[in-house]
Parts: sequence; structure tokens; C-alpha cells
Amino acid sequence: MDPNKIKNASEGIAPMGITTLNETVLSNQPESRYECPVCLNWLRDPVITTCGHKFCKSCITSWLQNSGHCPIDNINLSMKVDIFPDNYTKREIQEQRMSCPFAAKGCAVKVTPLDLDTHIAVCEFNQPEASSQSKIRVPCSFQAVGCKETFDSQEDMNAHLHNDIQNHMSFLMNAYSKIQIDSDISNASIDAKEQEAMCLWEAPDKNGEQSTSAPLSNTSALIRALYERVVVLEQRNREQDIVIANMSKQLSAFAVAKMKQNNDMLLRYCMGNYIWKIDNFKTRLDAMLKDHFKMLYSPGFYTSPNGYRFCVRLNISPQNPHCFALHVHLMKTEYDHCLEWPFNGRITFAMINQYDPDMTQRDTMMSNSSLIAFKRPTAEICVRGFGYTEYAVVSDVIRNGFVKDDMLIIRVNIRYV
Amino acid sequence: MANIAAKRIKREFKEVMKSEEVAGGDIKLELVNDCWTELQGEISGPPDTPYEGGTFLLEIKVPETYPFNPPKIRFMTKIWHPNVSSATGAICLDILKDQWAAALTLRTVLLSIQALLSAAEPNDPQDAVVAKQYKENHELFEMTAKHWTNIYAGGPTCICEFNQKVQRIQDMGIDEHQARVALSTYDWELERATEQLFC
Repeated sequence: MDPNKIKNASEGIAPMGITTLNETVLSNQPESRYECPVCLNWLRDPVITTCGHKFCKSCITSWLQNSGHCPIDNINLSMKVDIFPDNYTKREIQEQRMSCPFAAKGCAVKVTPLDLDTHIAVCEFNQPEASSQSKIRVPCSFQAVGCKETFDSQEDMNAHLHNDIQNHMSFLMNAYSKIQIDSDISNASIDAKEQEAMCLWEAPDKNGEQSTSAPLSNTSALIRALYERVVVLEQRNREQDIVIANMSKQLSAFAVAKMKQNNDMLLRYCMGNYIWKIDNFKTRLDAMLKDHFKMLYSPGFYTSPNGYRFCVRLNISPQNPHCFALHVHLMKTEYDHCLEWPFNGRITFAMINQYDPDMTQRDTMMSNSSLIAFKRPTAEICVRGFGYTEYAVVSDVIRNGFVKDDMLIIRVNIRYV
Repeated sequence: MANIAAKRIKREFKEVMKSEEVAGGDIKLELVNDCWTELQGEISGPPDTPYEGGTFLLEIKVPETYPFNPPKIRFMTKIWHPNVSSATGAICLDILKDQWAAALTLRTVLLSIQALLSAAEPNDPQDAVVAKQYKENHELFEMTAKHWTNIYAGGPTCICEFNQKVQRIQDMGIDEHQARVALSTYDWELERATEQLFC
């Protein structure tokens, strides 16, 4: 291939596609006076027409079978009367001597142009070029198992495949037994690996990675390693389930604590303005009516973040079982010693009418510093309260729209003065 | 393939490659397959014609009986010319038919086709519609040919009016080439072209 390319380039021919050209054909280019205009080759058995054009005898014969005209000037020609042998030209061509195109490779043969193609076909120096083409020889399809034959064409190979079945079978047999030995060897090595793989249980993390990356030479070792991996992963999965369960427990505990903290904050920072929502009011009321000593206490709330702490008490009046009693009680705080005693201020109750805001019952009282109820509390909740023993009639509270969705709302405002 | 045909094509190929027309960029020849039966030619539009500046590709198929029978050649690049079918690219040229001579070569044939672009034969048409326009409305024929050269052969003259008309029909959902053929056929009258497309 390469010599062709170089030669083409020196002849100024664009290289495209021309590498497949048979260079020997081109190198044998005749002068125009010896060239047949039909086959563009050296005139072979030249003839001359009455219009003065020369052709190979066979070329003009073929042409005139379909046409009655000269291929060059379209003048009418008849094979019988207008064509004459041109022995002058024939002799001249035969006197020409051309060197074999393989002269560079050592061929000393010189022949007439007409014989050149024949010579090229048999020239012994034509062989090396053929062998340079052996690069593209087709290897036998049993190459992988050891057949070393190569072929010029697919047909040759087909013949070889057909004739050498016996040889190919033995190649295959050898290859097969080799594979079996290989797999036996790797089977034998399993036991050693087993020992090594067992330590997967000790430290799953580290060895788990090793077992996947280690090159496993056969299937059973691979399956074994995968099985071990599965066990390790299942174990880890269970451990993580437990961790998750613990964490969700913690989380719900945190949520409860957070809610409690929120409520505490609300009570501490309400600035003495507390809204007491008594839910399940019907049940609680029934219980109180049944047992007059039952009392409802609100959580303690602060008049300021570090101020006085009060709670509200609702119960059935001991004097009049048809009425509610409503009182406030002072409660102990950690900063009582920093406050001024007795408490002095204004206390406002508002029982919210949830259907008609105008009907809300509002009452305001001023503290009385002579009462024990406003002295520094000695118990958690001061035993003495301050408020109304007959605050509201029970039936009025229930009937007149103070209870909605089974809930009574009392707003308490205590302001330190 | 017959020995003589392959041998001759090889020689002709070499002849074309050496020719001054190839050197000057007038014609080109390329192989399509390895067995020398199919080639691709290229000619440039001759100067002072509507095809000037365009490059036209030709499909060349060499029969086994070559050179006793002519090669089969057609335009692969769409072209508006009385002697070339605007639909198939088939060429009406005597030397590719009954006037073929064995002494003609691919080089001379390509040059003849190039000459055909300079000198159309409207009285021996391949495409009757184009030939009619050539004879009856020659100015419009030249514009149309220039437009086709611009669109399909990379010619330099862009005719905006034609482009807009094609675009308008395209906007109705018609394929671009189909729109161009209809407009070229009906002397670029939008209504008639549309009517024909939708009838």
C-alpha cells in the first residue's frame, strides 16, 4: 500500500480512493498514438478506419455491433468495408520494450507493452507485494483455541473449517480440559479463603469492603462471599432498627418536654393576663356537683416573669350549691424573697360569653393588704384565697352561652400596683 | 464487472485527476465504492449563467458494458433547468443516450453537462414546466434558477421575495421543497401555488 501512495503523490494525483487502484495498470500508460480510444489501453491487433482512427480490433468490433458510427467523429462505419488492419502500428508497438514495474525490486525483464500485464501477473517480484498484503489475511475462527492458520479469502477458510474438523475438535478438547483444571484449582483454594472470610463476622465494616473488591476466581467463592456479605448486612440492619426505635422514643420524649416548656413559658410570660380554658366542662361540673369538695385549680401564672404567681380556683360554693365560687390564690415561687409583701394590686375576672361578647361577665377587685391571702405564701398554694364565694349561678353559666364546645373560658388579669 | 470497463474507469479516473479542469476547480470526481461501478461527480455552475457560483453533485453509475454503453448520470443537487428533471435530476443529453460514443470519457461527459448548463435546449426538454417558463417568461426562469442555485447549490444570489413566499406556504404546513416546486411551477404566484397544493 505504502509504495502506491508515494507514487501517486509524485504523480500529482489526489489521493482519495486511489490507493485501491492497481498501480501496474496505470504505470503502463501508452502514448496517445498507440492508445485505443475505447479501452484506453495499448492498441492490441490495431485496425484503422476509413476516417483515420485507430482501435483495437476487438474494441471496434464490439462497438460496431451496437452502433454504425465511429466512436470519435460519428462517421458511418461498416465492419466489412471501413476497417483495415494497421500492421505498421502493430509492428511499432511490438518493437517497444518496457521495463517491469517491479524493476526497483530487482526484476530485469523487459517486454512489449502488450505482454506487460501478462508478465506482471507471473512476475516473481510481484510476490513480496502480495505478502505485504498478508496483514489482512483472515485468521481461522478457531484462533482463540490455538489454530494458527490464516487465509486470503473467506472461501479458503471455509474449506479449512470443513477439512480440519478433527484438528479443531482436539483444540477445543484441550482448551476445555484446561478450563476444568483451572476451576478445580480455584475450588481447592476455597478452604483457605473460607478461613479468611469467616473473620468477616468480627469486623464487618472493614472486611465487608475487602470481600467485594477482592478478585474472586470462581463462582462458588463468589457466592460464598456474597452470602457472608448478606449475613453481615442483615445483622447491621437489625442493629440499626434498634437504634432507630431508641431514637424515636427519645424524640417523642423531647416533644413532650418541649410542649411542657412551651406551656411553662406561656404561664411565666403572660404578665398576669391568663386565659383559663376549662375543657370537658360538663364532666368536671358533674363531678363537682356530686362532691362539693371537688375543686378546679388553674396552673400557676406570673404577674411578670419574676413576679407574683397566682392560680385560679373554681368550685361549687359551700354556702350556696347553686352558685360557683371563684377565687385567686398566691403560690410560692423561687424569688418570693425578692418581692414586696403583701401583694398590692388589681384583680379582674372575665367569664367569656362565647356566643355574645356583650354578655361577658366582668368583675374587678382591689387587693386587701390586711388579708392573709395577700401575704407571702407559706405553702405551695396559699390556703386562703380571695374572690367571690357566689360568683355566678351554675344554671346561668350553662344556659346563657358561657359554655361552648364543652369548654368554659375565664380570663384573669392580675396587675401589681 | 467486465475487465475492460474497470480498467478503463481506472484510466479515466487518473485522466480526470490530472486534468486542468480539476486543477481549476471546474469539475471533480470521487469514488463511491471500491469496485469502480459508482462515482460521484461535481461541476461548478458556469459563469454568466443563473447557475454561477453553485456546486452541483452528480451520481455516476458505470454499466458493465461500459464503454460500449454510456454511463448513467443524474443530478443529485436539485436544479431548475429545462433539460434536467426538477424532481428526479434525470438529464436529457444526447451523448448520454443515442449519441454516446465509446471515445467519450467521464471527463468529456462532465464538461458536456457543464456546457448544457450554459446552453439549454428548451426544444428537447426533460422538464416541460421549466422549458415552458424558459421560453415564455425567461426573466422569471433566470430568477427561479438563481434561487434554486442559491438554496440547493450554495449559489450567492439570495432572492428574498421568493424566500418569503416559500416561507408563507411553509407556514401553512407544507414541506419547504414542495412549496418551492409549486411556486416555481406557477410563476411565483402565491394564490395559484396554494390552490394547487391544497386542491
